[in-house]
Amino acid sequence: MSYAINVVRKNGTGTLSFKSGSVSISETCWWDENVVIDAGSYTGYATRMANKTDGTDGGKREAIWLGLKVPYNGDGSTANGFFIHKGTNASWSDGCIVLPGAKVYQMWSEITPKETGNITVTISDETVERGRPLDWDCTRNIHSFWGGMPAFE
Amino acid sequence: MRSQRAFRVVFALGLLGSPAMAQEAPPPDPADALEMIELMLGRVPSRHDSPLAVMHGLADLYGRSLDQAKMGDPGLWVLLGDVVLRTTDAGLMQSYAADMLPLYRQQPEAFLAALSDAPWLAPSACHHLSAYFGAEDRPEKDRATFLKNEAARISDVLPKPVAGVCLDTLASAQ
Repeated sequence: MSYAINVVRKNGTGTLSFKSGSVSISETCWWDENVVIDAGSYTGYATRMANKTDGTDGGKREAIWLGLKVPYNGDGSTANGFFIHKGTNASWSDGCIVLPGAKVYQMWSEITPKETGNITVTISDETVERGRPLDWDCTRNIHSFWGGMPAFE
Repeated sequence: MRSQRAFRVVFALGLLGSPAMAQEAPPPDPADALEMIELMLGRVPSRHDSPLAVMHGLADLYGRSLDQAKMGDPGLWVLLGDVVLRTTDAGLMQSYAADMLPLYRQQPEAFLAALSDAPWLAPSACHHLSAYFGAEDRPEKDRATFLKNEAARISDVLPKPVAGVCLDTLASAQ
């Protein structure tokens, strides 16, 4: 069985969507705006964060791990520790994608087997374009080209 | 050949252990030290056979080195914290943000002694200490009290420029 998680980001928050069986989730999510996973498709694993003891079911924290060498910040950097896990705002993230714990648990519980790369996590950015481009300011560009106000004699 | 070189480095790391600390806590497992070196070199640790095992193995290394830190020798755990920050391991950065300040409060002398031995670890350690406040809905307002209570101790133990960087880091949200 394979699963799909979609994260669409826009203006500092996003929407995480997951659908499987009777579970259908569309929930606001957050992340650290200084560490932003590159848009793309990643293999996810339903697992637990061994050093976090605040799991919704009383065990270690439930999470979806995004694998090794995940690119971020669009500059060629990669990192190994990105998860989707519980959180109520961006302060819960150093780059992970966070959403309310009940929703993470609902999604995590639906995914079987655990500890398997059976999830496709797709992260995308929604760009909104409104209005029309600014008029070409030929005067300003001439000034810029000349390095200042040109001297006309 | 590569493993022989790594073993020599691990052995050298063992020789660098503090004699005072060595009496209170066992030395790091050589396999953990080798994993640490591989992480510092940006390599996938050789003792794990799958990507998922690498992630869980690093989490386990965090747990073992934290246990060692709780026994009075925080050096390896603080070193791992530096690697975690430099490599932007987001999951473990959150763990350090939650766990380092409570450990500091339990044993500030041992913690600062480790930073005094290796002052280059202070910026990352102070980052993790600072990140405690405000993260995961923990109150930001406790930052000022912590800074007020600990500034003199930190300034007394760490070299002046290092202490300055640390206190600046502690004063600001991470």
